[in-house]
Amino acid sequence: MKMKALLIGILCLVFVFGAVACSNNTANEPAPANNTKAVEKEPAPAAEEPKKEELEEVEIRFTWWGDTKRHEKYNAIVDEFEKAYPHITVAREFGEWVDYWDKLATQSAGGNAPDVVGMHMTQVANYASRGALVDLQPYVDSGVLDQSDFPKPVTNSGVIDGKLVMIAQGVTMSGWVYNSGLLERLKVEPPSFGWTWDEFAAKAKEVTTAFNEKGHWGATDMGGDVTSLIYYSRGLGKNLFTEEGKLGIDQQDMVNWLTIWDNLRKEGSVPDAATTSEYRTAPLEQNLFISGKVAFHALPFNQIPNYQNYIKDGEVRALRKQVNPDGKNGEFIEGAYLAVTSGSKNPEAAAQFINFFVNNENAIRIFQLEQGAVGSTKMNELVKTLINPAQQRAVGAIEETLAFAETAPLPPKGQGEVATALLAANESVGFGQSSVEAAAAEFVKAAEAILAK
Amino acid sequence: MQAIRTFWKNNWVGYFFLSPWLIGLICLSAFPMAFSLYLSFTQYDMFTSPNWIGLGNFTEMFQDRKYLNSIEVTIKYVLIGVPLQLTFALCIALLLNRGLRGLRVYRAVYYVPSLFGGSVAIAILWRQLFGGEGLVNEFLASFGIEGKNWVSTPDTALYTLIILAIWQFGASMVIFLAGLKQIPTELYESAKIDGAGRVRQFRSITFPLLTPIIFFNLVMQIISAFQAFTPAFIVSGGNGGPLDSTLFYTLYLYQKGFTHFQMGFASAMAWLLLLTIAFITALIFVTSGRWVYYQE
Repeated sequence: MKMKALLIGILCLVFVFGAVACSNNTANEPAPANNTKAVEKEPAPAAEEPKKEELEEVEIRFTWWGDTKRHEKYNAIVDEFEKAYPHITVAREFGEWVDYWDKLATQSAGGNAPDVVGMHMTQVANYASRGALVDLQPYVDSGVLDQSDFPKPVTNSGVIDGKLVMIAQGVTMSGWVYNSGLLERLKVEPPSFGWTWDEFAAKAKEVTTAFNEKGHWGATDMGGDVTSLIYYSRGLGKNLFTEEGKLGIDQQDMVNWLTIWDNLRKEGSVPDAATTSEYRTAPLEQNLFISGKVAFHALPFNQIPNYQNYIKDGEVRALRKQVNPDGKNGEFIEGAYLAVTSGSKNPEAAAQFINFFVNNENAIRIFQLEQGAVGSTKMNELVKTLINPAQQRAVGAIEETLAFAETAPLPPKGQGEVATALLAANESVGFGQSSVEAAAAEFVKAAEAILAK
Repeated sequence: MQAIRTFWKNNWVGYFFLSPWLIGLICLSAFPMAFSLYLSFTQYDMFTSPNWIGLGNFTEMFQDRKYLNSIEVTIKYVLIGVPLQLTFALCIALLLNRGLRGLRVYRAVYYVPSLFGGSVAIAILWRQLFGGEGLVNEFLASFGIEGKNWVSTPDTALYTLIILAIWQFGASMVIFLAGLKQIPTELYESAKIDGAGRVRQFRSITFPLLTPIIFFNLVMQIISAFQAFTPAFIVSGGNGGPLDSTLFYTLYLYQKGFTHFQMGFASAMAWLLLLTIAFITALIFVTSGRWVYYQE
């Protein structure tokens, strides 16, 4: 019945949208290549446990988000898994980040979500709080899923309401990066790894002055970025989203936050609102940092190698998020996770698959740093022997900041809408449409209303 | 009973041949629509079963500032975009109708944008054209004018989408062109003898005789403008920004349903859009008696 309801809902929307939406959908959707894979007929390798020959053949579905390169890697990992577990066939589904969540929501609603799904902090509440994810603790207890090499905070980051709903696939931390070659050319001393907000503002200004060129700025404007605001709130000893899923900062905090960025914008240390808005969704290779228009850029550290691919005149080096010298550390664990959906008919096979993905040597050799440092410290040592200098800097930065990390409450259901409201607040100040005070008041009001639902 | 049986006996072949369409109509249109009507009175997050809240969605809508803003944006888009697009299409059609050599080639060339118009590729191209370092600004710079970041400034973002809509004038143009060909040349000849100039000829002959075509184009374009989705979705990167200046009704509907898990609210929005379009179309039909001139 649920599936019908959903199908119908979508069809109605499609109908009302008319041809415009239809043509868009087909053009936009990633090709579901390799959707179903024929059961492998080859006999199991002799080295494998012989009893698998007698096991019943099952099929599970696995879905993830990412770009073409990731699809190649994950397909290879799945191939390895199928070799090791000949009785399990894994059908693969994947798409771009935005399409991925739309599709997963629709599938979950229809009761035909894939067995194993790529999960993320910002989305997990949407699923876990509606009972769409399986509690994996029993599989850990029975030994199917092995997390013994995982540090405690990493394991805990997958726990919601006392249930282990997801397993860390790749752990990452957020921070800033700079291009060492660019700073050298501008004759600007690189900032210290744990820079403060004052140091950040000073460096951004120094770089802007050193550039002395229109269309060049010190740093990216992160005033509309929800992760950055979470760090800032934690620096104050608060949480943007509290344990109870409410807004944990007040209007004055918000005024302070927006003022920081407003001042930077007025000084020319970060781009004007229109430029920020234009580049917000720009692909990596076109963004302001890679095209050398800003010197400091905020990102999750696992992306350092991707950025280094495009930057030839220096090293992409990591910095912490701005530190509050009188306050607490902002760091908390981010990353990509794997979860099993409640509708799964073969949760055991799904758990086996996850275990293979995060613990098997062959899988890790392929995965390397794809979505962050792997959860298992043992496997992380293996990865370190395989990777290039940029990747090593990424792992280094993740490890170094991980030391500061504490567990943070997982963002609640409405976090997506709050993120949109934050973007709007920062933009309306940036475009001069409202004062900092008005925008802060508006944001707090909107966020409280969203989180009250 | 007997009557029904006879009716069935006589007509089953007809219905049989009609069945592919009939099944489609019932399964893909009628039933889903009825269900979305039901959903529009419920709170439905797609995971748990729908929860009846009566008119709750509809009252919530009118307290939602983003919703009201999306109506404003959409109406602006329709009111400015459609007349400009039709005028432009008519002007090009008039130009092409002057016995030009190679008319077929021109007609095809001008029609091409309509074919590509709704596509993602064009929307991306638009971003490049009207961006801060886009072609438009480079062109302006050669005249010493300093442009701005058209797609990401709230005051101008919507107008770049309107220009995109105008650029897709081909479909209306082809229909106008066909309409112009229908106007008997004797009328122009006798008007010329009576001493009517070009403007007078247009006002007294071309325009009145073209009103049925204008009427048709107007209805079609208004309906499709209300449903515009792709350009705003792509040009704004999916969020209707900057500052919700391109948050079309359909885009907000999509966000509500698929991003914020409020399918009940989205269904209510869809139904309200359907009713609005139906009402406006009816309004045009009712008033058409006063301004549409049929030759008979």
